[in-house]
This record gives sequence, C-alpha cells and structure tokens, in this order.
Amino acid sequence: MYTMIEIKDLTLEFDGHKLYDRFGMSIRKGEKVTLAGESGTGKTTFIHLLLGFVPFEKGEIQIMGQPLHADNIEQIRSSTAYVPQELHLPMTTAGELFYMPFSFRQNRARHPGKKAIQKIFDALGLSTALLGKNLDEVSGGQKQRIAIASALLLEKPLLILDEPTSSLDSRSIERLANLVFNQEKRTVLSTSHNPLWAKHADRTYNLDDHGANA
Amino acid sequence: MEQTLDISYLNLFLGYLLLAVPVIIFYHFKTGLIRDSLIAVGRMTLQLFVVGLYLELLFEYNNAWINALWWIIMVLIAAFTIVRRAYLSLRFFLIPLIISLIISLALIDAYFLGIIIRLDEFFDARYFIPISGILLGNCLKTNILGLNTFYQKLNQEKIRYRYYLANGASRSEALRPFMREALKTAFNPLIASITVIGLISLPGMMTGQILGGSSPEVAIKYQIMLMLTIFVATLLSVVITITLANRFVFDGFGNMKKQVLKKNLMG
Repeated sequence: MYTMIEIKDLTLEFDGHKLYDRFGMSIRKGEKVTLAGESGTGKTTFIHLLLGFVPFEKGEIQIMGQPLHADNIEQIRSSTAYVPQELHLPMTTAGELFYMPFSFRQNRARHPGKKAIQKIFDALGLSTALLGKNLDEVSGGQKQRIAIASALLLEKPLLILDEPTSSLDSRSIERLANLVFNQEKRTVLSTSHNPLWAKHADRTYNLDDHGANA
Repeated sequence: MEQTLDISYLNLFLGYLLLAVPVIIFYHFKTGLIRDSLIAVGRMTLQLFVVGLYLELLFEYNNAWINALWWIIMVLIAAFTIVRRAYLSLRFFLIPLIISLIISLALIDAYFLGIIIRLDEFFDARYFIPISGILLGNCLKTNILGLNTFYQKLNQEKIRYRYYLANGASRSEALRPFMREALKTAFNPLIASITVIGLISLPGMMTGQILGGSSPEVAIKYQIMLMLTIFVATLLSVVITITLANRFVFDGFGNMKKQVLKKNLMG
C-alpha cells in the first residue's frame, strides 16, 4: 500500500457556499504535506473531512486503502494522531494534558517511558518540568507543543496537525519542523501558511488554487 | 393520630393579604415584578386547587389501577417537561426519557414501598402518590440540569470531543468526560442539600408529617429514606436517559446530529 490518502471528485458545500468542487488529491505513505491557503479556504474543514467530522455530498475519500465510511471510521481513527489549533481541555496540569491520549484503551500499550519523553521534549526545546505545572502557567505555544509531543509518541501512521505554528516563534517552528518532518515512516498532514514551516514539507498544497474558488 | 387544624377560606384570604408586602416593596423600587408575582401566585393557587381536587378523588377511590394510571400520566408530563426545559428535541429524547423514568421510578418505588415500608397494598394512594410525586419532581430537576449540560457542552466543545475521537478514543471514552461534567452539575446541588438538611431548613415532607401528627422520629426516618431514594432514582434516571438517547443522537461517524438541540441554541 503506497497511498495514505486518496480523494476523488470531492464536492462539499459549507455554510451555503461551495468549498470544494470535484476536488482531487493524493498523499503517499510517509509523505509530508502542508496545506496552505487564505483564511476561509477550508484548511480546517479539510482535516475534519478526513477524520469523518464533516459529511460530504459527492466524491470519495480513502484512507490507507479504506473508504471513509461509518463502518470503518473507528479503525481509521485508530491510525491517526491529531492536534487541533486550539485545545481547551478541563484539566489542571500540563501532565494531564500530555498523558490524556494514553488513557484511551487503544493507546494504553503505547504509554511512553521517561527516556522517550525526555528525548522528544529536548527536541522541542521544552523542559519536562513543565509536566508538573498548572496549565494556566503554561503558554499557548508550550501547550500546543506538549500536545504535539503526545501525538508523536502515540506512534500512529498518520499525524494531522492543524496550524501547529500559530503560537510559535521562528526558532520553535524550526525545531518542531525538524522533529515532525523527520519522522520517516509517518505520513504528516499539516495546515500552515508559515513559509518557515512549509519549506520543510515534501509538498505544499495551496487550497486557494484548488478549491471551488480557483 | 391527631388531625391537622384546617385553615378556613376566610383565614386563607387573610394569608393572601401578606402579598401587600412584596407589592409595596416592588412598587417602591420600580422592579416591574408586581405583575409576574401576582400571576405566579394566581397560577400556584389554581394549580394547587386542581391538584387538591384530583388527589381527593385518588384518595377517595384508592384504586390500584387509577393510582398506576396517575403515575404513568405524571411520568409522561415529566418527560415532556424535561425535554422542553433542557432545550432538546422531542424526537430524540421523549421515548428514552419515558423509559428511563419508568425504570428508575419503578425500581425505587418498589424498593421503598415494597421492601423498606413493606406495604400490604403497594399502590396505596397515601404512600404511593406522595412518594412517587417527590421522586419524580426531583428527577425533573436533575434531568434538566444533567441533559442540558451534557448535550450543550458536547455541542459547544466539539473540538475537545473530536480531539478525543481522532486520537483513538472509542465513542464511549470520548463521551465519558462530558458525562462526568453533566453528573457533577446535576448532583452538586442535591449533595449540597443533603449535607445541610435539617440545619438550614426542615424538609417539606418532614414538616408535613409532623404537622399531620407523626412523631419527629418517624418523620426523620421517612426523610432519610426519601433523600436516599431521591439520590438513587435521580442518578439512575439521568444515566439511563443519556445512555439510551446516545443510541439515536449520533450519526455513524459519532457526530451529534444537528436536530438534537433546539435550533436557537445550536453553535
């Protein structure tokens, strides 16, 4: 299997206007693709489509060779790790945020050891001492990177990051890009219009040129 | 047992004269509450007299079938009221609520009346009607709070729910935090009232029993049992309703259907 995501003839109307009209796209296994485009071009909606959160009228989406369908959505989602742009969870500490995805039955066996956590935190320029801090003492950028560290340690074949650079300075973006885009076996789909991030990707897909408005 | 002293209608009218106090105060501060207060008192009077009339009938006949029919009608009214007050769709919630109220109320009524009090006549109006009524009234309050919190939060905090699902949570795992929050919101007030019962106010049923001639000792035992059964019946009804309704309110992808909440509240 060489294709991770295959989209054919996708048509989607959202809030009364056509967001995608007969849209097609293919992402290979292991490929690192960034979606770019102005606000309102549907970058986040695109991610929600792939995860089965937005219904579409016409077309076909396949993930890892399986059609996106209610019957296999749990199986598809069991292969994804996802970090949204803004995450507000009712938790007290950064540690709770970090460990939360490992509490799901399916991820329990993936619970990371101290060394793995240390390694990934070092690569992201974060201190593991952050895990003991209250979430209100942690900045938006740190919170986002903690969630990304957790998503990386889940070791899922498909990593989806929505605007991972939105709260980061250029040094942190470089660090994060080096870590995320060097995950050899993993397919990474991200949205960002930051050129620093995009230059590390194998391919940048501009939704301005491919959506219904093109 | 000593009879409670009756209140003559003339004396009851004297009671209504107390309303002059709020009318004068509300008028003085131009609160605009006079009309609402008078309507509220008017409604209360009418409703209680109607309830009084049919309770008189229920007690006079004291027939198991009529009492059971009253129970069913009350369950239907409660289910309908909960759906409307929690701003949910009748289509998805009416049946789950009716089923859950019947199950929880029947179980707890059977436990209280059949096992604890050991009534010879299970449907005896004197016990069956007031105890079921109090249980149902409390189920109404907690279900409105619980259901409203669960489904409104799920709608407002889609990002959180989707984050759980997209990182491998099963649907029940992704819904568990919302259930936790709904139960906290619905049961914190009840737990608080159990904590201070008797300290801040004498509970209504206990007061009623004492006025009706029971000894405080008997009244206390009934009140304890009542609080325990309210706690369990309301908890069962909230959990059963959400569990049953969740079979219908999601599409195959785990997304909450748009018609679940009343339109004006959809985010």
